[in-house]
Amino acid sequence: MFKFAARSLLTGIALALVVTAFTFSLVFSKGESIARQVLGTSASADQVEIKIGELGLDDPLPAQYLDWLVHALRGDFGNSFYSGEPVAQMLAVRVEVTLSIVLIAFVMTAVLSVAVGVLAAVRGGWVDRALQFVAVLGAAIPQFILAIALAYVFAIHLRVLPATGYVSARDDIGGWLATLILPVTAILVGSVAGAAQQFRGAMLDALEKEYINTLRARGISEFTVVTRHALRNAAAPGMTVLSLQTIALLGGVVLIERIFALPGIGTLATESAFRGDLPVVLGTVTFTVAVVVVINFAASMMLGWLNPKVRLS
Amino acid sequence: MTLPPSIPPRATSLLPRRRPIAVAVAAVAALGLVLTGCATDTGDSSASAPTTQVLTLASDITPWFDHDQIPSGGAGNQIWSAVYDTLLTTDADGEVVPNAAESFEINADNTMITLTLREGMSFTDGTAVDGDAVKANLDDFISGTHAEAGKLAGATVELIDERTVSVTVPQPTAGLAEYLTGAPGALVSPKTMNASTAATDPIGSGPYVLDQGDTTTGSRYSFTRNEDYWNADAFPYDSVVFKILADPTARNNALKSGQVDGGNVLLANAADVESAGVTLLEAYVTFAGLVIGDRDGQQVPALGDVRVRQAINMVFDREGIATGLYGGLAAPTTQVFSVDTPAYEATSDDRYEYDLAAAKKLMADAGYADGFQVTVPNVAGVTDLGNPLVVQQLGLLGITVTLESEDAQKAFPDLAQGRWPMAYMSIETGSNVKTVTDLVSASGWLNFKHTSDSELDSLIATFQSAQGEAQAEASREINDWLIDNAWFAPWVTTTSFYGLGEDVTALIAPGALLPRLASFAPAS
Repeated sequence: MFKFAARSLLTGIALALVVTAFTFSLVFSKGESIARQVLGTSASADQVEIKIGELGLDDPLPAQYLDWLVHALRGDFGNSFYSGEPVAQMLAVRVEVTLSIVLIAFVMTAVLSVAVGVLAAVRGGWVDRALQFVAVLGAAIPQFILAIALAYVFAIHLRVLPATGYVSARDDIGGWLATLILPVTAILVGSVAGAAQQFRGAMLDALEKEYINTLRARGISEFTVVTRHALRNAAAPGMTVLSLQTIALLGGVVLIERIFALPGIGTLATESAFRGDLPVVLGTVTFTVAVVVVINFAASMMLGWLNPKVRLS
Repeated sequence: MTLPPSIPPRATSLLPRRRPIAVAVAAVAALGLVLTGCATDTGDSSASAPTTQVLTLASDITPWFDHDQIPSGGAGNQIWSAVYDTLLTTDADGEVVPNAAESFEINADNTMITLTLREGMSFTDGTAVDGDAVKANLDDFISGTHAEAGKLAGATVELIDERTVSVTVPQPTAGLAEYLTGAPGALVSPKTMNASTAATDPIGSGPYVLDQGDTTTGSRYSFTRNEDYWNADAFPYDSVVFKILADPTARNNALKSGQVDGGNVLLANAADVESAGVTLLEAYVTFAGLVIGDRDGQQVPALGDVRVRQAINMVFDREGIATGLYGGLAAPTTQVFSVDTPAYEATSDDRYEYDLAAAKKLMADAGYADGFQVTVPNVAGVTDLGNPLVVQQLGLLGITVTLESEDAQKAFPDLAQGRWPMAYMSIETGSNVKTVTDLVSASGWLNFKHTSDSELDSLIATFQSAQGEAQAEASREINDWLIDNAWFAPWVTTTSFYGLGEDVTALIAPGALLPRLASFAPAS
């Protein structure tokens, strides 16, 4: 298991290095443009040259990246071109918002999709048919349409939940949950439907295996057969889909944050991209790739625990 | 061992049939009740009744607090004005009146303004708001990199005594007092003016102080009352919160749900927002149409002929545009001056009736019966509404319009540097001074090619040195000249909307786009 974990971790680190290096080379390749961005269009050529030197933009690109990497490993991502604020500080404030959405959505998706998928597989009948219907519906309705509809019904019409904004859990747990209900629900519909389908299919396959009949023949309760034996073997494909969905969620959360005006990483990423605030852009990319690496690692570990064959492959 | 034949291949039940569903429904209902109760208690919840102590406003842009970046208008001005006082301000009629300066005097030809400060004012870091501080602010602005520094180009600031400062400009400047109501007149503590912390920890002498603990950069800016402010009575709210809601949907939802007390509303959303009970204030300071920058014909010789520019004016059906393109929320116009300013004359809006035949004749008279080619900028989200019409209608005159795509960040600086001969734009013109300074003067940033004309220059000189009714008359003459010479092809004056919640009142002064912070008050 240790070798497997180490291999997964090293793969993740390599991925992070490749992505950040590639992004760095894309955004920092034109030193003059960056200096003009910082100084404004009325800056003279001399002023631009001085700024290029100040920011180290005349160094070779690999050297610039290495310098950035060394600072980043110490938690220093530079300062915003726009506000002068340390990028790490800007990220720290917003990480809580995005992680709140992503983690709650992930947990809820996992719990609900397992429950619904297992129920559909085991019970069949109208439960199964309802799941098929909801899965198609969930895939067909764009998240942002659902988000707008939820805001209209619950925030504007019924006024039981806030339409915009975020309250930190450190300030008010109830407020924190209230500000997350609508955004998370908008995400859940599509993601639960898709993952539940995966769990349903895997459960149906597992329940048809001969060892299931053997277990039943030995008098083991159906609940134990399903949850302790069939589910364990059916979990692997579902886990893979869950981890992929969570990674995709990082991209989709940008729109959700915008509609509900949540001050998360997604909003910061789009605003800084529009403004050309390159240190912040790089900071948000680094955060995103770090989350992807962590999710991939966690998913790998879970898969390895569930299915020892994976550790050996 | 053989399996008993009665063992079914699938379970008939994990739990009794109805229980999982009943349990799930009960759990969701219970959770909903708990969270609904929590929602009514959140500071950010729509369900809380707004109080008269906190004013919450939506802004579509992230503010600047650096002295060399604060804008004179728009939402950015609304926010920085919470913390920075200005030397002068405007009243409900749009007239310039004293503010931090308790009195001011302008000489006869608008080349010098003398300001006398109120006694006993100080910045929140303890520095006195005296003549030295005002001079430091003005000198910094004049010599700095602010985009509006040109308004006081070449000006000299003299400290007459501890409370009296004079500003002398090299040329008559009609906007000398008006400028000091905006960014040029903002008062920032000299100790922190150019510090690296200025952007995140602004120190002013204004009605409020930035509450850093309740502020998230780019998302929420919270201000608490400055107890030492000289005019605290004019600001009834103990605190003001600005929520940065760049997305129009989020902004509308916040207005409709009562989460914010005010915020600007896009024209396309006005009816929807109003139907939800939001009061809409209206401003008519924006015109939409073509800015024909290449009047000298440097890039496109045809545009140097007034007959061609007049023909361009006559090929647009302004009534149809107001109804079809702007849903009736615009008024046809041929003028770039705002409707509630002295320069505007309603009768002038009939100057260029839609007449394709007459337009073609003008083109033929000018020697361009077959038209010509022109390139205009195409900026996503900015020119989407107008450019298709530009292509279509100019095509009727044989003018081939090429749309050159550019992103907004680069397009506006390039436009100001004369990259394109002509552009469809929606421009906030505001006061007469702003229109003449930004749009008409050779040095105006919206006079792309910095074109001038001796007759127009003479009219502008008269305007700049006149006061009162004489200045108003001069502005009307400038307006007439611009229409006759077709420097622009305005289509409509668009309505700008600002939404107000049921618990607040505010007003938009003539020539302004948004309500000033001082105009907000509880509805009761």
